[in-house]
Amino acid sequence: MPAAPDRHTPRVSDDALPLQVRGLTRRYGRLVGLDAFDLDLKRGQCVALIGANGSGKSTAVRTISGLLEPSDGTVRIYGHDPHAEPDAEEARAALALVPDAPLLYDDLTVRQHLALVALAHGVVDDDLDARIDALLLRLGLDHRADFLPTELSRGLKQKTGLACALIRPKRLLVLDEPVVGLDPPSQKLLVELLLDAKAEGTAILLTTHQMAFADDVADRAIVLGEGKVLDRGPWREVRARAAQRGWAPEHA
Amino acid sequence: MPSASVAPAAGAGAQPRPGVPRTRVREIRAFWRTVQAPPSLLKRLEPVYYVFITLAIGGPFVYGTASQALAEVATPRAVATWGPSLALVGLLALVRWGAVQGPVVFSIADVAQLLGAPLRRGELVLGRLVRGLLAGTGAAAVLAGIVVVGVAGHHRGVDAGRAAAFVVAIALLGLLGVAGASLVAGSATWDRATRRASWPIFLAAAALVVVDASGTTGRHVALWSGPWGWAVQPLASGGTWPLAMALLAVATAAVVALALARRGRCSTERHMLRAEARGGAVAALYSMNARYVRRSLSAVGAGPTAGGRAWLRAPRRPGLAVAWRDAVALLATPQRLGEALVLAGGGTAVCLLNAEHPAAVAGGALATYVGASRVLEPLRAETDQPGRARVLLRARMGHVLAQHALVPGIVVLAGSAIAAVACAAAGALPDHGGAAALLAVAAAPAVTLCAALSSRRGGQLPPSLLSVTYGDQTGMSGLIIVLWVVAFPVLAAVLGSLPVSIVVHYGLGGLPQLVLLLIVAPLVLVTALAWEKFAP
Repeated sequence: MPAAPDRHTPRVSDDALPLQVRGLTRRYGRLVGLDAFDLDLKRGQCVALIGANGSGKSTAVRTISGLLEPSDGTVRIYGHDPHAEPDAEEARAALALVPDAPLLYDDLTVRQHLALVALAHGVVDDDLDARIDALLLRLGLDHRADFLPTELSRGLKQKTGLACALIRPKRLLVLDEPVVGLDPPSQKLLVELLLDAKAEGTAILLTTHQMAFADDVADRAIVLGEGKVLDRGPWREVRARAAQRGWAPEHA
Repeated sequence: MPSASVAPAAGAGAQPRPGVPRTRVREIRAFWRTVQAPPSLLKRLEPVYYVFITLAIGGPFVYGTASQALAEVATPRAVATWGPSLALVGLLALVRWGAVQGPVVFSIADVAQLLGAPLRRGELVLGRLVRGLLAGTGAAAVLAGIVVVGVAGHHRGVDAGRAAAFVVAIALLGLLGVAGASLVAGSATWDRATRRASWPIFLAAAALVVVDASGTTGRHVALWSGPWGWAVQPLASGGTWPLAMALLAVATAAVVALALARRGRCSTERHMLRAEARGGAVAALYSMNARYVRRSLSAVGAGPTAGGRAWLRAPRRPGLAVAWRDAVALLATPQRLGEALVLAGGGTAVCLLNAEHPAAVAGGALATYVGASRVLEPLRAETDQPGRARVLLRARMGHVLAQHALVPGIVVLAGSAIAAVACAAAGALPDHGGAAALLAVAAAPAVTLCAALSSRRGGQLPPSLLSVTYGDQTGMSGLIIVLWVVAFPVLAAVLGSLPVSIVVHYGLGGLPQLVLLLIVAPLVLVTALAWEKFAP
């Protein structure tokens, strides 16, 4: 069925950076969760945010994805502000978020979740069922496709959240602690999926405590501590500098 | 599952292309209808059945109560005097409801999946907002209908046109309130402004009663002071009510139009906060835990606690640890301290200034009780997580709870004493004023301990009480629950008002016994509070 001519269409600019953050600050009362955070993320690039608990990683991810309002600063996703409607609609069209705790409907099966997300992002067609089946098979969720989230383990829920992000179009993938709850084979699969996405030009921003995981996927890293940027640069260099100082970047 | 072609295929790893058509919200609704089979006709008629049954059973009772008991107080004169004030407070409550929930609340999964999708926010919100506006209008109309029945009771009768106009006017006020709640829910600025205006509005509501009772001019001022005055005019004024109705309609239309225009601007963060609060509150309701319902809802607007700013040197004696913790909490929330002092002082002043009227004295004691409740939050926090006190503190739980009553007791005692001294200095004490003032102040510890015992219950019906009421065959279970709920407030009202009333009405003959009562009662109450067997 052809699209109706009056239907709203996104205006995601191909020229703009997938993610541009300037002076992003988020305060919780008198606590500064994130302080003057800057970031430029290019197509096909993966940036890992690392740091100890409470360093501001999740605050950064949540503020960038629109789940938290910034106290100061700007976020631009392909040139669009995710915090200002209706511009945010364009940003949401490009950004796919995988939160640390998947937010799922209790009364929808895994398959129905994917169908809903596909519909909400305007990618329903005759091949949708086949694509859902293929994705479920790849993620090892095929035998749980018709199960409700309440019947799934923590790891399978995490995979369902990941599947929801992968079934839809995305130019910027944001993942908050994506390996938490995943077994080693699933972690390996996640690495493969992220490398595939990078190869297709998807920009990736993730947070993690697992250096081995970041070794596999990250091109650059930002070390956060107390909401401030402590170090940044190519991933290997950040790791090397950390080793010279005798501390692990995730313990900043 | 829908298979209609909305867009070219784009699946795992696919890149979106500029110009990809977007889904409309109605397609999402169609999806839900597909995955969740529509209920059967019988199921759909269920709400109608419940409404019918409720009206059949409760309707005559409400009508009878309204036309008899409510008719005693809801006179046309009372509507004119109290109406604008009550309407203003009701409107404020409705608007402030937007600070914790509001008419548009999504589920957590909706916030993540639908509000995170490139769907029009305005479209997503519209249905919920319209339903909320209609529900508010309908509920206000029902309330107005009950008031009309009361006003018309005792064979007074009410002109049908005015009665209908009153129902419409209050319905419009409800609509205005829900639209205001929507604005507050969607904007931190509106939220902050209405929160700051709350206390001034309470004062204004009290002032409206005074102004209205001061004479014809005052009444005109109250009835024309705003939508709250305009709304009661059909039952309270002469021939000017059509103009008031017109003004109310214009004001309501303007606010509703603003709410509709701004409906899509609420941030995802604010939607998420409300979704989480509703989830928590509903879960707490199922377990009949009023404390957690309140905590869940208040978490929406709560900022971080500011404990660190209130510096107070820690004592060296372990026995003062809990009191020190309470003092730190009190200094960190000066608003609560102020409210407790005002309520305790105000309650004592009401007791002494209206000592001839037992109901007023009891009301004053209840105000003192509420004041004590405002500063008992650390005790409630202890009952929220009993394990914490057992791990962190040395004393037994019962003793910890008793120690938590010390600082609130001092605060309430101070508030009462200040009010009593002020009344004495102003020469406003009643007969046997010195003794009455002494008893009013001496009742403060007992009233505080009643509030502490009530707080210790954690806002939850105990399983033992629930099992009694479930197994009850006599039809008294509702009464049992009500008695359980009101037990400590009633005890506080009795202990706070009885001694003062006895001295004022019967002289000083029983003063020693009354003083003894106010010494023994706190000892009994604190023993009950510290009773380990019933500690959480």
